[in-house]
Amino acid sequence: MSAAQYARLVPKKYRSRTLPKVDRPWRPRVIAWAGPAAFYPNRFYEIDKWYKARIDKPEKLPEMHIIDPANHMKSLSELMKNPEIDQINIGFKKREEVVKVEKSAEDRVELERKSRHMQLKIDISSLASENLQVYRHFRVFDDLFGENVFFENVQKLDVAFQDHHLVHSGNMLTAETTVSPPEISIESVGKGGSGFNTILMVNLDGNATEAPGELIHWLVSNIPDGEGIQKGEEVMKYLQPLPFYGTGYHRVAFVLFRHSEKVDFKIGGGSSLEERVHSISDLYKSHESQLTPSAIRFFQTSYDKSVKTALHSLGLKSPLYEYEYRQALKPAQREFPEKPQPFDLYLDMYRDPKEVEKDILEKRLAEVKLDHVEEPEWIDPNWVENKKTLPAWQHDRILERRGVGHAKYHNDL
Amino acid sequence: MASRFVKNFVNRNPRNNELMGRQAANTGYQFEKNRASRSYIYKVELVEGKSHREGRLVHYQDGVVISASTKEPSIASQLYSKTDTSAALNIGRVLALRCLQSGIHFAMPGATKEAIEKSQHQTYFFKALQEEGLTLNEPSHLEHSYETDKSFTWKRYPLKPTRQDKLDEL
Repeated sequence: MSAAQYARLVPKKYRSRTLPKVDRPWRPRVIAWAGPAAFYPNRFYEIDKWYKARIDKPEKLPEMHIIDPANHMKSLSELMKNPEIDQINIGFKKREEVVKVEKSAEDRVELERKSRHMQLKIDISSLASENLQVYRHFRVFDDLFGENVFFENVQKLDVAFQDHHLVHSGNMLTAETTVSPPEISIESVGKGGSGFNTILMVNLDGNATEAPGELIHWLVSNIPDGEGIQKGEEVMKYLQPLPFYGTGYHRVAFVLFRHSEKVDFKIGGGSSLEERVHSISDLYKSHESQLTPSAIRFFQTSYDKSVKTALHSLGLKSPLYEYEYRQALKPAQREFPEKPQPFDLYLDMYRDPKEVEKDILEKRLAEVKLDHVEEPEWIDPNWVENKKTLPAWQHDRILERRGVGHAKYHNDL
Repeated sequence: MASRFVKNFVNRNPRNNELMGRQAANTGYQFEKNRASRSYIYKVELVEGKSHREGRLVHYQDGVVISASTKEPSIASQLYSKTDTSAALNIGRVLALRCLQSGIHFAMPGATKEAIEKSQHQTYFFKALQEEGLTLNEPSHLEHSYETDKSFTWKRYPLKPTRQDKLDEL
């Protein structure tokens, strides 16, 4: 009872001088404020002498993750860098190039004048650049001979398809240009015409059989030094690169080997695709004592019509491959998701793709005829009516013109 | 004899996804001043040293892949000076040719627009790259969606934070 209520009931003269001590029940108030846990005999798992009004179990934080700066002195880019491993040179020593051009005074004056007027254009076509980093970037050595192996380009090797399509270090050539064998010129490096060259053309990515290895497209061995490749023995006949449909860009490499005696590769000259698949690293390993790689060139090529023609002429069908994506990440489906979700999109996420495909087809057949598949001019003629009557998510499905909505009218049956 | 092709063909070419446009470029770190500076597959940059000019093609994972420098005697012998604007221009020409010879046709410029405009060397370097046929822009990658993958029949939607999530910002 409050003091005011008490005062109303008792006339003034009978009132005591001081207000009576009313025993107000405080426990329910505390419980209302702090929760029933306030009066439990053991409020915490670990009993301690905290202020009593602290009601909830204190949040237990995991132990701090301590970062010792002594162990973290490296920058992010340093940490993310791949550790450098000593690479083994399986080829020859690098050739020292001596370019010493003394410029005369007149030349310098002329150069200065051109340079000042920004007219000095150096001859860029004749610059020799042997950059092994590109070959490492494309993992050419790794896929040919195994990890951590390289060799220097020490012999000049010119490979030209159809006269002017030169092979450099990974340039793009269409499959059509590679239909006929290239012109190959090999620099003579032997003293007194001794020694032999072997040229190997191999597709590093073209093996579509179960056997491990790479697809050899051309192998001409025992070419006498300084002679054309016609003088060599054609161990394996030329086959144009076959980048199958949908498999993207294949690396096709020309590797030049140098040897002092004639080499018998002991691989059958069969020309079917299976018989052309050999592991290059094994092949090299078995003739390692004689062969030394001295030059490499490679190009990249992708599917076009000539590949199909070539496969048909081999009596094969052209395989059609499709890129298989890693499945898109989505959270596990829950009856009550932690956060509110748009229910239609949330449920769509977990539908079986086949079921959705079937749905699209049914809708499509319901709306259009098989021979007349055309997107209507107006997406939703009843827009005003639909906007009023339909729920928003259903209306959105009608308006949908991307993804699954697109497939309704633009999909090959 | 009919050849049997494998069901799952693996292309080992490490650059294939980038060439086919499936590889997304990095988006940079969240609290970085200029996030776009890390958003590239390849970038070209001109390093202006004290006594040399060096053009570089940098890959976002493998680092410097191709370079052209006035340190190379075959380039230096044809130039008047190793540090003048004409050197920067010619380095650009050489670098562009080397990129094209390695099948790299697209690269982002490694300097901001202001930095390029401010410096004659950078201006001529990037102009030379373009004139030789290198495109100073990268095509955006193909999103994984129903158009590219028929089993992706659902739609991604943004989940916006509720009041409860942002209590500490109030």
